[in-house]
Amino acid sequence: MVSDESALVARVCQGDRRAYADLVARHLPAVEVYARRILGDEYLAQDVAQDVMLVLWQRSDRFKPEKSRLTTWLHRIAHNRCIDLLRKPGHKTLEDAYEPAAQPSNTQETPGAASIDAALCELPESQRTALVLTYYQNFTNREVALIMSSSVRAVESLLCRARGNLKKYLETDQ
Amino acid sequence: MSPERESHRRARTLLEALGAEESAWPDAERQSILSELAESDVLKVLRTQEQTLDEWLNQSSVTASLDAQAVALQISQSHAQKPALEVRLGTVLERVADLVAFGSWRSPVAASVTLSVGVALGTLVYVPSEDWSNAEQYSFTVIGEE
Repeated sequence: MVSDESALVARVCQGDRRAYADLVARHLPAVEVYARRILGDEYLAQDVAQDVMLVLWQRSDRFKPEKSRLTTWLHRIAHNRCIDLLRKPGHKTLEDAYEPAAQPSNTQETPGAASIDAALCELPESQRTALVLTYYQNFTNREVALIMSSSVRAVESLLCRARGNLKKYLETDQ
Repeated sequence: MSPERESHRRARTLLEALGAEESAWPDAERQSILSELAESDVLKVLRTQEQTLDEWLNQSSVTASLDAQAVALQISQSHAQKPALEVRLGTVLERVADLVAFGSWRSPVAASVTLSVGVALGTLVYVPSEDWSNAEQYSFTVIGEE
């Protein structure tokens, strides 16, 4: 799979549109879902996902298969784009994002899909990123550390705090 | 801290970080976590709590909505690729090398390049200096001003 993807990326570098379409079909859905969980906004997430796919088309020669999987590289780009958007004036600031996980809103009566998505959005950005990458995107702690430019220990700490906050949220919600 | 305490603490950290599902644990530490779980009621309770949270997390319903085929087509048809500087430089050098190797004006180009390199080197290496050590000395006196 990895060598297969490396070959596809090499073909994309040569301008092969079919190889590019193949890679987009494999990776676009995961990147879009990741961005949506981090940003909490469907349209911004679509912009980020398309932006990442544009980088794959224009700058695929920057991908180093010996250093990481393609999906790790793409998620790292998506992560940086999401951080840029979260830091933009007018969007939720990092100071806001680093506040402790809030109490459940009154509109969430029962735990469910909407409830968990709302709870995720209320986690501090770094905790949410670590949890989403590990739990939903199935990256290893080492890969999450690479994406977040952090250490494995720091990622484990973020995950513990994220799950701890979600447990509190769940207990209060029920 | 004793190795047993350390192992117990590590199992607890991984359960709290990664949840109750065995497949989520690192391969290298899975067996150690299972051993600790078998011996600790505290860890068993913790695993049950984490399992509840995992079930809740599994209810998330976020899905992708973009059409991958359309996105790929739109991007590849409307945007030019931008290879890195070293790749572009390599391509330019290859073209220059091809021209020099197979062009009919190879000899004049080779001669002018050689001449240019020679002039450049000469300019860098040669330092003009004036040596007056063997020169005759003259003195001039203005006559008739007294």
